Amino acid sequence: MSEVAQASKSEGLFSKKNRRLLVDPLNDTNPITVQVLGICSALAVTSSVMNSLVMGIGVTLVASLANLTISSLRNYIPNRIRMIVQLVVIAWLVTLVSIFLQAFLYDTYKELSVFVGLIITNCIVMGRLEAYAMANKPWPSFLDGFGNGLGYTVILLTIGTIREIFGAGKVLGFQIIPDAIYDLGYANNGLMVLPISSIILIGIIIWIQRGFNKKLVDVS
Amino acid sequence: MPFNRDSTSYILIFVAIMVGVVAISLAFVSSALQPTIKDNEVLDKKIQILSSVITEQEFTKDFVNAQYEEKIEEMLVDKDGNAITVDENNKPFDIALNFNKEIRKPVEERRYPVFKYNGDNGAYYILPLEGQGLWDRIWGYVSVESDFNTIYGSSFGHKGETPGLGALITEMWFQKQFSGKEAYNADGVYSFDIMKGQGNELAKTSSYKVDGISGATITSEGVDVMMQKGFEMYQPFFQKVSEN
Repeated sequence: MSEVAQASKSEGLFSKKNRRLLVDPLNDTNPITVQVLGICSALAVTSSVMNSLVMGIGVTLVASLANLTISSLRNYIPNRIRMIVQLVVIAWLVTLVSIFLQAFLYDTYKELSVFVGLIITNCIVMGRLEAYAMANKPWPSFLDGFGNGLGYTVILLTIGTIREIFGAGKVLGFQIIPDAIYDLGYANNGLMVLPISSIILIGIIIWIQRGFNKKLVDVS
Repeated sequence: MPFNRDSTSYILIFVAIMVGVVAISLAFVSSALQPTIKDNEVLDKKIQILSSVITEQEFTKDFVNAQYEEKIEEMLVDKDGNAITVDENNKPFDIALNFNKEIRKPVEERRYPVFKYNGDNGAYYILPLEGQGLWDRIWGYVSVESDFNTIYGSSFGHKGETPGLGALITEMWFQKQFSGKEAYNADGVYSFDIMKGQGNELAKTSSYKVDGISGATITSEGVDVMMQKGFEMYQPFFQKVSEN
């Protein structure tokens, strides 16, 4: 991914080019299914819808703010240590998010303490910094980070919903599959609780997506 | 550009400024919010203690503080079950807050907190527990009736058990099973047991056995060991109180 979109001087905040930055990652350049970034966390946290949602919000927040910060500093960052600078900025933002969660959303923090730290290692954040923010202006970079965060969240929510329905019979803690069906001998699928089910689901999602989106099919 | 971005001196200056900004901002935010975080931890601990005796209730801040203030009597005992005077240096709640550190001390120095809940239907003794799950520490509170045998309720917590598997020990269905079970059999031998997996027939009929969690055998085992050790620790206290 090395699009170098230099915005012209009179370009509006939500010009066509900028809107594409938000919309493309939802389908054409989806971070998980097309760029294949951030797979580890997509496997680990998608056991329920709530976990997926909060992780998605966290990554979206960190990705857009890190893109904004790095893009603002891009003309000052020494090239030889740019990766370290990127990591420091990501870690700084994640630590801030973690402290704020502890202070104001303690229950969520308790639920997610491990995952919050995992945002640092999410390749989407660093991948977008390196591929986009280092070469583009702050506002488009912010949108790029936000769009990629959204694309990530959409996939996470899809997998989380499927896994929670078949693994626990619930969505967001509310029972979806009625007791009557359990009485008939239906049982929750134990595989869906385990991370391995996500990789199968991601595979199926990529398959379906490529069936509809001809742009993604290799020409060769 | 007036400066050379690749010169060593520029890199050093850049790093120094970056580290300074990051360190100062993090230190500032962290210390500014520390009191709020501390409050959250204290409230959370009170909720954990209370939820081993109160189940059908939403825990609002006011409710928790009022209940804790009114109904909970804090006590402290040593390894032989003798009472330790509660003072500035010996606060049961603070010890419970850091029970994992207390439990690592030599046996002679340990202080065990006990929280007596004076409810409308009688008194229950709430005991803090500390153990090891699959990935990290697990802890809990178990409340026993004044016969020191019948378990009244329980609440468990964990630091990093697998979501959807080991982390299920915090769920109501798991904790509810403990209510009404007995710790010791007729001969006074500790018999409480968490079985492997879910849906065991014995868990429904036996007064000593409960279901574990399918797919989280090691965490369930950890809770089992934690319960046993907890009852061992408080056994002398039970005897002392029963004798009087």
